[in-house]
Order: sequence, then structure tokens, then C-alpha cells
Amino acid sequence: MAVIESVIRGFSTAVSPLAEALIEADSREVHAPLRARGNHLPIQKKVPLSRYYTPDYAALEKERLWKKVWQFACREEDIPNVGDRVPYTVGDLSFVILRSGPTEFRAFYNTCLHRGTRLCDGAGSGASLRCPFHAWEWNLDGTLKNIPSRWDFTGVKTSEYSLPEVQVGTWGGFIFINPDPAAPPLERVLGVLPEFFKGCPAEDRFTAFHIRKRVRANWKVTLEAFLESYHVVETHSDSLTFTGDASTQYDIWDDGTAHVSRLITPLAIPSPHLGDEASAAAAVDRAYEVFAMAMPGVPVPKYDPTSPLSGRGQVAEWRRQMLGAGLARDLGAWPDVAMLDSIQYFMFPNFCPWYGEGLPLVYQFLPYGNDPNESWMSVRLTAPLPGGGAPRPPPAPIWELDFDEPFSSKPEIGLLSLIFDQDMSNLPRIQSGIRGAATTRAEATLGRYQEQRIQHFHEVLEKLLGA
Amino acid sequence: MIPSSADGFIDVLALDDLPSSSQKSVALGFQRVLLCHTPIGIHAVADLCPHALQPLAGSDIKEGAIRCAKHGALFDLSTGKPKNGVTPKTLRIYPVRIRDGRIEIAVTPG
Repeated sequence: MAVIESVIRGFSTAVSPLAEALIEADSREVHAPLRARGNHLPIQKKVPLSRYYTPDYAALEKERLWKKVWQFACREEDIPNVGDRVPYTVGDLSFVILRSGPTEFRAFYNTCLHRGTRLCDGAGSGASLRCPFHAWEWNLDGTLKNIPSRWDFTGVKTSEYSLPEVQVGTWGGFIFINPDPAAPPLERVLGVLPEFFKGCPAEDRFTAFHIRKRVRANWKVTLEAFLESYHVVETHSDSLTFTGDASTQYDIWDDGTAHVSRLITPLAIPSPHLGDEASAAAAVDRAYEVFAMAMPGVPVPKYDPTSPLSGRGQVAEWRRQMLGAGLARDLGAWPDVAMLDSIQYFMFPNFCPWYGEGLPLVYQFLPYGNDPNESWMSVRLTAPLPGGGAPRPPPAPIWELDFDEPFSSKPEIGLLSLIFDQDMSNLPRIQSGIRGAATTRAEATLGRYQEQRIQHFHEVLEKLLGA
Repeated sequence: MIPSSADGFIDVLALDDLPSSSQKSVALGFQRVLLCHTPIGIHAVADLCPHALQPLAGSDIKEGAIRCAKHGALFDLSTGKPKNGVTPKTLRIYPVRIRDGRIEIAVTPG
């Protein structure tokens, strides 16, 4: 007989309701997808720590993951004009992504067919792809254009020397690639994302800030630090006054091909860890202050006990007006949850698009070079395209932060820089702790509800890698 | 903008609001500064332990040193230098002076 497992879905107090209850109490009609609940609960098992540092596991990931899956490479706005290109580098694999026509994108292995030189090191543009070593040159469709001293390569047939091309797909302004020619189309792995993002179209947004940080931790360690709000109580203890960490709602949608999950962490309520006596008014005041950090010079309101709106309703309404005015857009119908809360989606294996205006981010996590102890984390802060016929803003430059450079060296992102630095301070410690674990206890133990997205990630990874 | 005098000192609190053996965290723009009234004087340090970037407010102070309540990093309140091995990083300190019954601290970039 099957045993139905009963899972406790979060922890609430008198002043810190569960996300689900806050969605019910929203001052606006909530977009249907935000009411939808997941359809999958991963099997609970421990995760072997060896997969975070052994070269063998990293090699397996290269062959069976990175060469086989759809993966987010860049945004369309990163390459706005025909001929623009960027490299997409995952471990020691690299691809060049280029705009080959006004609405056409292509991706090729980023390696010259002459003697193997990398063709594209950074964002660039031009009518062709030309190798810096001997000037072998390809057209934007990947066909061979020119070989200097052509007479010396009589064995080279032009038709056989097109750059090896990989599959490209787009959704919501995101460009994805898949090196596997036999892979199903992108749409099959996006799962619920296109339907769920209809209320907040990603194609109508642009990258306002773009930071890439090198991290001394395996890419999965870095990713997993951002898939749960369980760490807020210790890692971001100064956010507890206004963050419903334990009230967070987690959901997973899995149909066997698409692997998507989501968290909704409510803001402008105190953490349930602070108990029934925590101040709901102080949570509202602090939320006002935090959101105001992105708008220097703007007067910061206070909780109004005489307002007919709830505390969260008040902050949401203020955000609708401030953001709406700044962007010349009407945000009047947007629900409180989409104006305030952290709504983060995850698509296997490494892509997190966030929903709404609470925390409009995009995360991407990548292995860095050949060393499984190092990774890249890319963070984009996005904003809706300005209304009133204003032109699309130019792509944000990429700020690269080296291993020891803190996010706080970029104060433009306000309180987020402290929050990221708090996360970053953990990551090298996790990596070294993992490597030094007792052989008898070299496994991670995951929380049943709050860490289920990490469990799900490993469920999919294990199936794909066969290990 | 935070009003400051020509020499860079900023009025942050009345001296009477920081009794002996007390501490108080004050906001300075996005930063928080922890004011500590100890037997050897008044100190101003970042309310942010450089070990795991957690607030220091409420941590124990003994013999001129503050011990972070979270993970035990210990810092000299006068110099900001670490006094144990939890972190090699230095706690940011601010010059302090008392004028007309007010606590003023100097904020320099960095």
C-alpha cells in the first residue's frame, strides 16, 4: 500500500502568514499562474558531496549535461544589430551567439576550424567572424568566407568547412542554445514558463544592470544557495524584520521533459522566526526603506494605521505609483504579490528568471573553466521597457567581478549588493567544507519542504548523468 | 544627503542617549554604525561584522573588544583589528568626537 507523505508546507505566525494566505488577501486580482500549485514532489534522498568537486563528475556533466540540454545563453538585447555577437562559455565549452538577421539568431562552436583558436572572446560585431591567428573567416550563417593563401589548402572543400552549428531557440527575449542536434525543441523544456509569464512578459523588459561574478565554489553550490529562503535566518539575519522567509511557498512542475520550479518569498511582513510579537508595522516601514534605496532622493513613506489598505497593500500601491510614473506605464492592475515579493522561477539546469517587480532579476550559474571548485554567477536586474514610445534602452555593460571583488563595489544596486555579499561570503566556505567532509558523512541532508527545489534539481541531474 | 561639518564630522546622536555600557545602531544612509559607550570611551564601528556581513548590534563588549554574537569574531574597538582567527578582516571604525553634548563621527569614503 502506498504511503501518502504529509509535508508541512511552511511556518507562519499571527503576523507572518504563509505566502498562500497573502495571495488570497491581495488587493488586486492575482494572475492565475501565481495561484497555481506544483505537480511534483521529489523523492527524498541524501546528495553525495563528491559531485561538487571531483573532476570525473565535472567531465560527466560536460558530456551528458552541457552538451545535451537547452541552456540560457544571453538576451536578444545583448546583440541588438545584425552581426553583433557574444561568447557563451560553459566550463571549457564555448559558443559564439550572433544575430545573423534582423530576427534571426545562430550559434556556433567558438573554435576556428584551422588550428582551434577561440574566435570570439567578448561582445563584438561585424559582417563576418574572423580568426585573429591567420584570418580564416566565416559568414554570419556559418559558411566559410575566406582562407588566406587559399592555394595552400587544396584539400579544404568550402562546403565542408562551415562552422559547426548548434540549436538556437528563443523565449521572452532570452536566447537558448542546445549543442545536441537530436534534442527536442526548446518549447518542450520551457514547461509552464511561457504560460506563467504572460502577465509579466519578459520580452517587454530590458537588462538595466548586468554583473558577472567569479565564485570559488562549484556551480551547483552557487546555484543551490539561491534556490531556497531557508538560509535567510542566518545568512541575511538583518532582513528578517521585513522578509517572510519561513512563509515562502515552493512549487515544482515536472512532466518528465520540462523541469521548472518556483519560490515565492513574501516581503513587508516580519519573519515567522521573530514570533507572534514581531511588528507588522515595522516590517512595512522597513520594506518602504528598502525599496526606496533604488530611488535616491524620494521621500520614504511610513505605515499608515488609518489607511483602508493593509500594510502590504500600502507599500504595493506606493510602488505602483512610483514605478508607473518613472516608466510612464500604468501598473494599476498589478497585484501586491507582483509588486513586492520575491518570485523566482528555475528552469533546469541553471536559469532563474524572476517574475514581477518585487525583485526583477535573472540568474545564470555556470562552471568556470576546468576547475570544478570555481563558477560564474551572472545577475541581471531587469526593468519594464519604458512606455510612451520611448526607444529601447541600450544593453547594459557587463560588470565583471573577480573572486575577491565584492558586489558592494557596485553600489548602484543598493541593498542587493550587501545581500549578495552575504551569500558570497558563504560559498567558498561551503566548497572547502564539502571537500573536507568525513568519508562516512559526505552527503548533504535536505529539508523536505524548503529545500525541495534542490532535491528536484539533483533528481533530474542524476537521471541525465546516470550517476 | 547627510549634513556634515566642513571637517567631515557628522552629528549622529545625543551623548545622553548613549549611557555608559550601552550600544546603539544608527543609520547613516545605507550603512549602519554601531555606537558603543565603554569604560574606555565612545567608539563608532560599522554595524556589520566583516566575517559573514551580519549586524554586530547586541554583541558582547569586554575589555575594549566586541565579540560578534553570530560566529564569535572578536575585534578591538579602537583599531578594528581582529583579535582571534574567525576572520582576518578588519572591522571598519570611525573617528569619534563629542561636541556640545552631541556624538559626532567622521565618515571618509571607503
